[in-house]
Amino acid sequence: MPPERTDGPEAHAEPQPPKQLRALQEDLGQAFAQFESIVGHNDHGPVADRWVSPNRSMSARERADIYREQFWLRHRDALYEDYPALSHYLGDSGFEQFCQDYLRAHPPRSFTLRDLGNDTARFAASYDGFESGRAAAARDLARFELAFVDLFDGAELPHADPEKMATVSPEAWATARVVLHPRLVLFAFAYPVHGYRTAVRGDGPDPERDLRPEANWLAMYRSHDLKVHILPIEQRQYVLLNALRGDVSLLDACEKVAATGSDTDHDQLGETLRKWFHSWARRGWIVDVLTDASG
Amino acid sequence: MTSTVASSATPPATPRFDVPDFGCGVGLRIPHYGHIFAESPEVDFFEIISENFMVAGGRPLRHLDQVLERYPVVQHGVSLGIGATTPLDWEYLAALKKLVRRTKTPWVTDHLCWTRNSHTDLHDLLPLPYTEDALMHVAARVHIVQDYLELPFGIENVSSYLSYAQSEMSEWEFFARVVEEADCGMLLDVNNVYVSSFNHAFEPKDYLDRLPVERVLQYHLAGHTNKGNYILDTHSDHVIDAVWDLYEYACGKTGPISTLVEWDEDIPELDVVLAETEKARVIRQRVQARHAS
Repeated sequence: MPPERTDGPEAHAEPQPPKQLRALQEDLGQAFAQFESIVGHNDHGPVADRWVSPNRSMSARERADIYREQFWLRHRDALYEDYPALSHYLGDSGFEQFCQDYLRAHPPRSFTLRDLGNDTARFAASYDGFESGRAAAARDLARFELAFVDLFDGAELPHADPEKMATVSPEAWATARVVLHPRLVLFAFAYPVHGYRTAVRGDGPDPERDLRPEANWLAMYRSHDLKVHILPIEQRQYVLLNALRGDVSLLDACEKVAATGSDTDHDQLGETLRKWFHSWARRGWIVDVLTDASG
Repeated sequence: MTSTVASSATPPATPRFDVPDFGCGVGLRIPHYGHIFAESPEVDFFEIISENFMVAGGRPLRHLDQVLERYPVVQHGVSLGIGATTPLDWEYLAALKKLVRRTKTPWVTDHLCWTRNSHTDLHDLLPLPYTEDALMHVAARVHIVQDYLELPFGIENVSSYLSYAQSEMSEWEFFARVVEEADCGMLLDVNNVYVSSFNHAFEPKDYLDRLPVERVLQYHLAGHTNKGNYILDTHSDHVIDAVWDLYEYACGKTGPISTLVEWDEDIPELDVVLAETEKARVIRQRVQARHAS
């Protein structure tokens, strides 16, 4: 076997690109990556005239505009595919306006369309173009649907070692820190986005576009068989899991839960917590337990 | 289907690269996964879009591994941007090489085009101006990529809808000279030759006649959409008869070469795509019989 090559850019001096070729790509790339026809465009029309030849049936601008239109259709369709519930909720007109505004703010910079929507949730959070009264639900939907992309093809990560967990002494559990699976995604939503998305993607009739407020909490995770699951959780579970993610001790996290609930029976809470942790470990949400002894 | 291909007594070219002929395959597409995994249909090989599997984990790679257990797989990319003027993306190339090791593809292909500028990744296969400068630029980058990947690299002719005022030569001369200068392979997309011949009013057989056909690693075939005053390469339909005729004409020059049918929009049942590969197989056999007689 020959030795493994580790060379990369340092081993390969790339030539300087030709200036004219670079100018062509910069000019036309800008003309293609926007949403107004090149044919009558004051800036991009002359760019097309400069670089593109007409043929018997089409002007230079019309020919260039084929690529501009394809740019829009390709990226719009990719966003439709990744955001079925958001697009249904906003309607075609509202969603396509959102897509154009998003793409203007975040032009694609990754080689893969998988990354196209990486900034949608952040963008939606401050986007003021939503139809009146629909912004809050749209923002919930954007956050929810973005999470699917990463969970679908994110890296494999280790699950908890049951033998290690079994060796944690009862005293050590109080100060132990529970490490949650990095791909466990926790949501607090004001709208029932999960049911809405399920209905949109299902075989039945499309749901009404309207969504009524309904506070709910969800955990999204990927199981060993790589399927993505969405599990409704109680608000207290959400509080506890979020606290654990905040790197506090198990005891401190549990006290936060105790402080939020009406459940003042600590014995009952203890039993509840035991069931929760058992369920979470079984689902692979817990990847490690750090005690003073383990560092 | 009627063939207008003239009988050729000329023996096929001796291949420049020592790569296998996998027969007639199809693109691996998600709507067909159920059929593939449940029934293991007879398919000579699958071609994957490399970028779809250049991911960290999850189901895409699980599915790929399942396919690799049963079928030969070749890799075809859409995002290398070999003709772009931005620097080569080494993160991309490293991920591509990692995938090459997983699939054990005997060759890797991408397109003779640019895909990005300094602002935007356009996710399109944008034609290059056919200039001496562009030719040398692309060839130099192909050298680097082929050297890094350590296996034959082929570039595919794209369908194009515009031509540049600055071009100094024909598309086929540009294509031929790039692969000769870079000493790389060709992925000859016969449908793309047809589409561009319609859009730019040239004779498609002139194109095929002027290529160094010994460099063809693989063929692509696909359907397209005629918009009236231009044809769009949509991969959304059956291969038309005129493209089958061109394929037979090209096969007469190259001999049997791995051939792939692409279908990417309005994707039908796998059996419909496989029926297209059977048409390709019949043509290959007819050409082989002609050469043998």
